[in-house]
Amino acid sequence: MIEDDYYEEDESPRQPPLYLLTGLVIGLLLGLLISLVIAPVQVVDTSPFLLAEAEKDTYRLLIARAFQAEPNLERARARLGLLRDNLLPQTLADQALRLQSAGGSEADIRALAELAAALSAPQSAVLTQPPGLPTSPPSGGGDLPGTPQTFPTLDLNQAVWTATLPPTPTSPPPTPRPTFTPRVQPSPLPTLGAPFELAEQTPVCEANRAQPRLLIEVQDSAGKPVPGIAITVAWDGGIETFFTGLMPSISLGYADFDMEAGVVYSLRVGELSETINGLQAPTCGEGSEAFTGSLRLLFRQR
Amino acid sequence: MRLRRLIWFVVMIGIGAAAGIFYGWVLRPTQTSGFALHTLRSDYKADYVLMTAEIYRQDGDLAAALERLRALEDAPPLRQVQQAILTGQQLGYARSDIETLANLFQALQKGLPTLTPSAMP
Repeated sequence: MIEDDYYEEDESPRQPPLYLLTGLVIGLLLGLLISLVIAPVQVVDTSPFLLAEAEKDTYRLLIARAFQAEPNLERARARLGLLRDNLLPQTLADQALRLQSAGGSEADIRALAELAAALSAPQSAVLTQPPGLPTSPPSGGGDLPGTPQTFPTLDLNQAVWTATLPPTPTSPPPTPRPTFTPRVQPSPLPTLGAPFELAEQTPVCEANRAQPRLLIEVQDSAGKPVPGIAITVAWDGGIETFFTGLMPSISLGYADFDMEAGVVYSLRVGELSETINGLQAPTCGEGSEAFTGSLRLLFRQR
Repeated sequence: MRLRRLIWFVVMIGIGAAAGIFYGWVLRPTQTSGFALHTLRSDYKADYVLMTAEIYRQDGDLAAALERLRALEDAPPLRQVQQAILTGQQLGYARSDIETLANLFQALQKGLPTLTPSAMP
């Protein structure tokens, strides 16, 4: 009886349907809980010009130090362009002054001042690049003709006041699109169909080599070096994974590993290959001239 | 009658939840700048690591290089350099740049004792 009265009262046109409002509020709270607490928005894949000011300072300083290490003005300018500063030399000089007043490292201050001076030089002004720079660094094209490479002066005032670049009007930065989609991480390993098999195993006896090593070369079926292949080495008490291609000066398919005399290693190349067991650093020479050598392994794809 | 009420109740929860999610994911994130270094796209990160490697090649200061890599993100430094090498290879970095990165990688491998086979029984 009471329940019927309640329904009748609830359904009357003068009374708002409270159960609908209750549902809406519960849903709203649920939605806010999900979007703000359980799965909040995570910003990824931003550009350097969207960084916080402190982070921009870090980035700018890194560019200046890299320029000091490798005086390639074109590359430094391209990198600074990613920050979309209107007055590049001025910004750098300001940062140098800020750093100086904060008692920062002299090397850092010098690097910023040198880069500011280099950008202020008349020869560099004609090389101005528009914002929106290539996403990969330039491939080391070298310095431009006539560009001074060293700037021994630490006169910050000069760096501040000799700026010759006119302010470049820039369009307002586009609003980044926050996303809650998980970021796709590039796989560290290329997917290769066929496994690798041990083609050659040779001891390397070089008396002048202080540390015995596993010298590994990985090739495809055509004998071409393959970079980015994971090699897992295990021994009694340890395991380590490393990759081919990190020493391109030797070979793109090359990798090595420091061995210890008397320790037995197991090794596997890639994910599908067979494990090679019983690998040991060989003993070279005889008698008092004996020493521990290295082991060269050649793997080829089936 | 009860069933109809129940259906509408659930529908309203759904509408409310959608509105709450829309607010939290679309309307509320008004931050358009002021991001941290770790939010950078992978190619910018690779260039950051390359700069670190260039500086390391010149000054040989591994501790400073580690500090710079830590400023970029919390990932292990070796992993960061390895990722930069792979990104660089994908983007067609010059061979000299890859070698610079590889040089830092090797230095980190030697400098981080837990990754060398010296901890053997």
